[in-house]
Amino acid sequence: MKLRVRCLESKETFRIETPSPCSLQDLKSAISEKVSSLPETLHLSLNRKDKIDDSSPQASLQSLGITSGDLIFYTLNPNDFSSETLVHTPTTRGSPQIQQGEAMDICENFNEKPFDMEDVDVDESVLVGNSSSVPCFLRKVLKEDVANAESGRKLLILAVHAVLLESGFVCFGSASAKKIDGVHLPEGWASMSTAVRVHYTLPDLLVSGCDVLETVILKFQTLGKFVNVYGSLTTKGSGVYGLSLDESRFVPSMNFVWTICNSQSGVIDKDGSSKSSHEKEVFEFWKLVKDGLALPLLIDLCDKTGLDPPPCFMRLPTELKVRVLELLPGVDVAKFGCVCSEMKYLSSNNNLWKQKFEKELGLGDMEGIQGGGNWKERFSICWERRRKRKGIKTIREQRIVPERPRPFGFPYFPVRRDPVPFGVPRIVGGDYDMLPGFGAPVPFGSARDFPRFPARRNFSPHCNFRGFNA
Amino acid sequence: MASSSSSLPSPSSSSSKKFILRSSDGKHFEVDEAVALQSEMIKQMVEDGFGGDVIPLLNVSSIVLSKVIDYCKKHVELDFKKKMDGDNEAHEEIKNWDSEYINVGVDELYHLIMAANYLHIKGLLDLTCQKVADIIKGKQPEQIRKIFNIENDFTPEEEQEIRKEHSWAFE
Repeated sequence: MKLRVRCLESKETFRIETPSPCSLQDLKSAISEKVSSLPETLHLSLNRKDKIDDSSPQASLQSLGITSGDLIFYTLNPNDFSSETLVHTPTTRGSPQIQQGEAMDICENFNEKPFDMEDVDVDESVLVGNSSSVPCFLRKVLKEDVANAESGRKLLILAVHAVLLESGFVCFGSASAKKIDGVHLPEGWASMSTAVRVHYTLPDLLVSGCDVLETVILKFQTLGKFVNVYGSLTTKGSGVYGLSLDESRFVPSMNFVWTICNSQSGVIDKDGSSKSSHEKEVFEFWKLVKDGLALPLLIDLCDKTGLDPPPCFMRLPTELKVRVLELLPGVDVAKFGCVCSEMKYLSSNNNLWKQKFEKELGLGDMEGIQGGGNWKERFSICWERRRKRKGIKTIREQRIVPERPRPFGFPYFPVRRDPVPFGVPRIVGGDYDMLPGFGAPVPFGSARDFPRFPARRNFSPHCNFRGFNA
Repeated sequence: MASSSSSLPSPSSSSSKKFILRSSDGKHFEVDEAVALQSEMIKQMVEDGFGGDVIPLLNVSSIVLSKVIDYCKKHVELDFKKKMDGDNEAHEEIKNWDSEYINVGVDELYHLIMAANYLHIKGLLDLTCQKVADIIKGKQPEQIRKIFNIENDFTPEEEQEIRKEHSWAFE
């Protein structure tokens, strides 16, 4: 199991590899070797707040919810982590006997700070979203043919070519009447002065080996800063689909995402908002070409040649695919992204994940968060953490650890229902005992009235990239 | 099937105007105004003065169109009922009817989505998209590929990489 270990104080991070299975004791020994201190003095945490329960050092890491790739925090100071492994206590280390007034203060704090974004630790070195930041379709083609991508016009032609390849077409040399292997355009295309013509066909048609091959032809014309693309079947009388692509709009964005892709670390971009706007432009481009050229041509060609049309879901226009994604829970979006490269691209949309985060993990206050982060990663980290807490809880319950009053319930995750609403401890002593009429529930009202997640109520289901005006 | 009668006890059946919709394969469907106007697209056409004798719907085949008309008719009827009988009962009935109606195969579902999108029938589009989402929900990528017949176009390395990236979703 590979783990990353970070010092709480110095933030120094290193990687260790532990044997599998590995107990907590083994992990501590491995870390202590690296940091040259005794294993007993080490205190570990997954979220730098709650200490990992080390009462049974032989417990396996899996049973504690630690999985490969996790980031473990350590400290030598025994007081840095709360010993409560279960309950996440963001604003207070929670004395069990909270007086009424105090409890109210805490509630207010929750309102102000419903989610501590520091929790979502984005480790730059393992930016999982990196591969999605450059759409796969573009990456494949540009990698091979980057020399030709210098001028804006050529880059646009290459990118259109890339979308057609992604849609299942293969490039076809009209002179040689042979399929062109790989991702290249026909030789010499770059030197054609004004109009570039490219033929495409489908692999299935090549296999069947008929003499007169049905092909699709794309014609590119440059008019000032616009590149016009016309696509049609080569047979007469078939429909022509046209697009006009604005070089000044799309080329800078493509160059931008391409540059990020090349600088491996992904840290080049500090300005998250500009990154997301560039990604949006590239997505718009992809959508235009996909819905305006590639899909209709593909359907026409299949229709003409009697091939099976592309699968029904893939034939849906992009906006409807996105609509379906918006209706899915985050975990299903992630799985759907593993189905094929197009869904991978669609499901990596940052706005989509931001929406999923808000909806499922209940982010109260959007203002406090730095713009343009990787929401998919944030989602996955929080999801993992939530799962882990659940896992640890189950283990703890199995061991029948004496019930401790919970200082405070689960403020983050609305789906979890604590038996005691908001985890308000039974109040022992104090005013409550003397004046039971002024009971604890009063300040809170009924559970439903408590505005824990105001943002959810105002949540707008519409993602801003889905113009719905077909 | 050439023309569907409107014998249903529709709210305004006696007085209302009729529209004739022509499907892509040339069949004619006569429907009440209220039913036709469930489609925002037809509504817009009528408002713009294109609502002549026959409204051609080039992208919708007769099979799909008759199914779409079923939906519109039922919803006009139930909307009317909702006004008369109060919300709750009708709401329940709409829900039941919808879930029965949308219980179709993926191909038919696809055609319904496309028709709802083309005709701008918001309710039907919501219903169909939700159905697709329900089909996908809780399934593994392999199952989804099978159901929708989607080809796996990843190389083994790419697939491994993306699985790793999404490992959190598979546990």
